[in-house]
Amino acid sequence: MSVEWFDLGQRLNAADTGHAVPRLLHAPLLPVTRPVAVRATSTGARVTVAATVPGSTPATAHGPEALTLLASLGASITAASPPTLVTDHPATLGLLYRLALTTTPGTPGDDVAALIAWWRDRADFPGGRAVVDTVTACRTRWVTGQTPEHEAQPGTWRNWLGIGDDTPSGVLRVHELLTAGPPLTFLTTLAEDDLYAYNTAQSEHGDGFDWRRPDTPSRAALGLRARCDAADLYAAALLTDPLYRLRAVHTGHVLTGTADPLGDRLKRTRLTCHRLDSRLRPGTAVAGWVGGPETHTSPFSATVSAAEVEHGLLVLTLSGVTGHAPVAGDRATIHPAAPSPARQRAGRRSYRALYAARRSWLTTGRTPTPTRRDVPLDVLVAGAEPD
Amino acid sequence: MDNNLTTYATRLLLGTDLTPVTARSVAAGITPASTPAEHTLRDGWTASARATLAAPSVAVDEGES
Repeated sequence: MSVEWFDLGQRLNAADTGHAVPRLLHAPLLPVTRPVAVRATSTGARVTVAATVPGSTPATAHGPEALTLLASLGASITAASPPTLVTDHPATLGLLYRLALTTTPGTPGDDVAALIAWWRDRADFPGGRAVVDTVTACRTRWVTGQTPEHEAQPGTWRNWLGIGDDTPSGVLRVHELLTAGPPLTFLTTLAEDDLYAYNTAQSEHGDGFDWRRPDTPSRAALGLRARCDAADLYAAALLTDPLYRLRAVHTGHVLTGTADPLGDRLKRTRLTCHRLDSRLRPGTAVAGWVGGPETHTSPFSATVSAAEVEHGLLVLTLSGVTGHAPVAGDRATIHPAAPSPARQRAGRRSYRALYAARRSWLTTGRTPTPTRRDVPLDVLVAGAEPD
Repeated sequence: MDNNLTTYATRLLLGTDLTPVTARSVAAGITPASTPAEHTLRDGWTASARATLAAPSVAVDEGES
């Protein structure tokens, strides 16, 4: 509930000034090289598509001709770099996919249909460059002086951002504003994953892979894992933004308290916090620094090993504090540690290898056999009970 | 403040002793904040005015990346 009041404070400010106010200091999206603004609507079975690219006048087409229109705008799986679908209409991708399903392999519209299938696949990846829903992105970046229901309408954003053009060209203008400024950390990593996926989709299309067939179990599992990794990374990217962290104090993802190092071999520090609504549980790896949520200097890392309430205050015990550890009395801020993109990729490679190996425990369904090996002393010490 | 926002704010402020008008006053710092709801409203208003806040000097630890 508390975060709703925080948002209301922002809404009241926006209503007072008449300007949308920022939720983020950074851009939630990277600029793209081939944006294609599309808005699809349907009347019964008939799908109408309005589309444009920078420097062109918006055009409209119906049914299968819409695929021809998209092809004329460079929206094809054969494009040298991945075209980005930019839309402000939630039904657009579903309607495009409906059109794509009307094509057959090897026909002229198949290259466009394969791109639409790739867009549909990548639409679940937050912060990527394949599909941009400008309404969702605007809600991530700014707050208006209107209600959340009104913010779900593209027209609300055009009004607050001063864009009078309600054609797909206006969608491109909103997208430009969304990508202005320094981007959030990790967006480049997410874009690299998009590019890798695009190159893979191009190769598969060239090899005659038919995206209309259902995914195999391994492909579906790998896709799910990749989506989870992207979601984790995007959540961490948001926490690198100082304004976002100020809000995240009220969701329990960011916690500020007074440090009290215990000075023991486990490098433990107790953090006493006034707020009890923390989402940081024992076992959570955290990143922290001395200072408030809006600052971020001299980081340290640790793991929450205990959480308890003492005299109405939340006391977190942080173990294995490394880096610029806080000293007694310091005001310190912590939040969940960001995942390592390198580790995520390595994990996906291992997962793929397990699915590819016919005798792995994953493909055979056998429970893995536990194996014993020597454990380094420092790992044993870190795992020991504090008492 | 438009009527829709007033209605929305009234619903959010149920059980707090605040009205949309007093909430705006507290959020803007005209009236001092004393309750958790008032402090949170003030935090939101203040955050809105911090668009020129310096970008973080050190990014979140990216581990092995």
